[in-house]
Amino acid sequence: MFERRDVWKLGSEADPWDPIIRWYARAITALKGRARTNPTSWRYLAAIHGTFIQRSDWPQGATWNGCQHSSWFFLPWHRIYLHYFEHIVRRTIVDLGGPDDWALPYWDYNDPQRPNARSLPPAFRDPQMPSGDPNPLFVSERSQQNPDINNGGRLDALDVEIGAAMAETSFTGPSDDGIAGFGGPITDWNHSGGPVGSLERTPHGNVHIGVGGFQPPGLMSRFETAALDPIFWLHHANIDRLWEAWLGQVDPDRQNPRRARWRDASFKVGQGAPAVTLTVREVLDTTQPPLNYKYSDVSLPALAPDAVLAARFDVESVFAEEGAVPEDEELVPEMVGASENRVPLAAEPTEVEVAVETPSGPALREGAEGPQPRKVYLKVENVRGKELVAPSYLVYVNLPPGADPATYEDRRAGQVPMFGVLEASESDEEHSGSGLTFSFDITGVVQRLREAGDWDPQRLRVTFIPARVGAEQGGDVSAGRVSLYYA
Amino acid sequence: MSITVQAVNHGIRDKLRRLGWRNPEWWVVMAAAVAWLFMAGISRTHASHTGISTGRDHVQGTLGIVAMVIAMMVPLTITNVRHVAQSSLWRRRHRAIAGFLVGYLAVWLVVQTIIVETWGLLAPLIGWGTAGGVAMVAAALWEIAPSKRQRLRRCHRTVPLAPRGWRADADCAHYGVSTGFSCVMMCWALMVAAAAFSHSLVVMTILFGVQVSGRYQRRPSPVLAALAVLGVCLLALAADSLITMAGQSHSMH
Repeated sequence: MFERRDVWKLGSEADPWDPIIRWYARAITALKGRARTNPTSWRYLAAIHGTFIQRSDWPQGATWNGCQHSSWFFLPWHRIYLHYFEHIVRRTIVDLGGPDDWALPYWDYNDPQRPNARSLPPAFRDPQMPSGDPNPLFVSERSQQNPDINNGGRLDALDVEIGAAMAETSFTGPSDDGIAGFGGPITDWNHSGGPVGSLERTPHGNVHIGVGGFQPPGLMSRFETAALDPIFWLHHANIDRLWEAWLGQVDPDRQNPRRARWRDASFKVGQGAPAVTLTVREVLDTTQPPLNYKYSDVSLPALAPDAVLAARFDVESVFAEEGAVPEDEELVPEMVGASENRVPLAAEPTEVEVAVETPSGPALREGAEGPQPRKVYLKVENVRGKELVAPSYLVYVNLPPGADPATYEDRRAGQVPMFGVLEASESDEEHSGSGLTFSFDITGVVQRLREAGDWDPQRLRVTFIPARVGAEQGGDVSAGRVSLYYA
Repeated sequence: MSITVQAVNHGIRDKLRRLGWRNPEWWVVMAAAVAWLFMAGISRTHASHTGISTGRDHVQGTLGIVAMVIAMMVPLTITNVRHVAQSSLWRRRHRAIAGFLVGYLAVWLVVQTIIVETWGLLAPLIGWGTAGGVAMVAAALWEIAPSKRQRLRRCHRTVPLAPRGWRADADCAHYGVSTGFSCVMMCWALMVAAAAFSHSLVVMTILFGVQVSGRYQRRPSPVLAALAVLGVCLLALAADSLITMAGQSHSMH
């Protein structure tokens, strides 16, 4: 059994070159020396996730541009991808004379007790290794200001917030209506574009663009280049760990989808002898073959003391029936209001009002407590643009005009990170040009607004506040629509 | 006993109602099924001809074009139809679907009429066999053309829709038109081939299969699609030649 360990607990800030990291660096140097057409080369491995290289120039049989985003396959696809990568790195390390139990470390950036962990691990920041050789873990194309990530700058605490994702009780949303849940919306194969799952949104998307920067976008900020940054793999190991941690929560029990359409979906990663073809079902239990790994820690100190974790993590709940659909996924959402025009996401805060109608469909007929919906969702639809002016936007519901958002944290619906917006706005072989859609479960926010007497059932005000601004003007990102759904 | 029956009926009604809620596109699927039945009926009453080509009976020809477009193209838009319904106020969702279909069908009916009329004019001039061969090769080449692959994802595009009033109707119709144009860019060559070999329901069914595969498959194989197009069209050409030869032989005797 391989153990994936927290990179911040390997070595120390003064001497970060723990053997696990040192061997990782040596292996990357070896992978970088291989030809792009070699399925075990650094550039080939990165291109599996995404590449700007035209399809006509791909090696025969390559499965590039395969990453799954805005999809309930986001988590399992990346798990298979990491497994493939880890296997190749481990084999390379053995070939170099290293240990045969090497496992990919993870970057746990969301521990409130260790704010330093929001900085890039030191071994990834130094252009040179202790020997004086170039450091293969260092990448210059990263965020250079706010944060200056290669000089120890920290990601914002909101970038690494996991509360909203972990609070999701359903892996996916109801049907294919764009409400995403924890792991992403029900889709077929989907490279990019469409509704984004809560975990994929934050911290995943925020960390990508926080490390990569947005003016100009660095390696981590684009699908096509993200995996060329060695920290990408540690970031995704943490996202994979958070999936485990989410499943470990109880009250209510969190469960993976039970639909065969998800469990039997198969993905091929790689090419030739080292290629792996695995179904989602085969990678649900990481401690079993073919994966055979565990995380050193799947606790969630960032959520303590509210989080209730299962004493022992069980992938397959004994109470869950194969094929059964969780209650949340049985809900039929009903749109009750939407904005009339596009909503610019600019360098300044933007506000939009939405006229809300009384529900007349399932939300009215199936409401558990009369006309009160069981769930309330806010959707920010079709976010598109070609030039970013901020890395993410904080979304508030019924924020009083001119109020300091910091004093109304309980009205924050979530964040809209810009990672993936540029790609999803393109119209080409891989992208429809629809942009990204973000859905937020704001049932709790609405409940609090009701209790405070600030909920108007006929009118909703949504405010977008740029998390950080790179320039006072410019940028062309906008949301096609802001809408409200009851279920 | 009757209470049990009532409970069962109520359960079935509830399930059907929920099925309708979750699948607002149900009547679009039924319309496509009816269109296929209609084409099959025409095919049976007119021996080996579906009656889609222009000719003596314009009414039947027009009905044939409408049925062909609904049968072959509308099923490709199910995800778009669901998007329109799910993005609309509950009371407007079927109206929104109708608006989308008006725009979508308008584009395709114009294009399909042009295809059929042009075919009716050109094919006799250069010979039905030659024209069929050209249509077949063009359809097969278009399947493997990079420009087709570049456009594939556009058919999956979603757009924001105004929630109410005339703007909501206009947005739905506009979305139908833009989706229609995307589909035309994808499927024009197959529809030309379908018109060229409209004497066979089998040809249309297989071409429809190629379209569905291209639209919904994870990574559709262009080479397989091109081979399927070539194969079915060659079979149709061969069958046509045999029928012609048999007819000539019969008249000689």
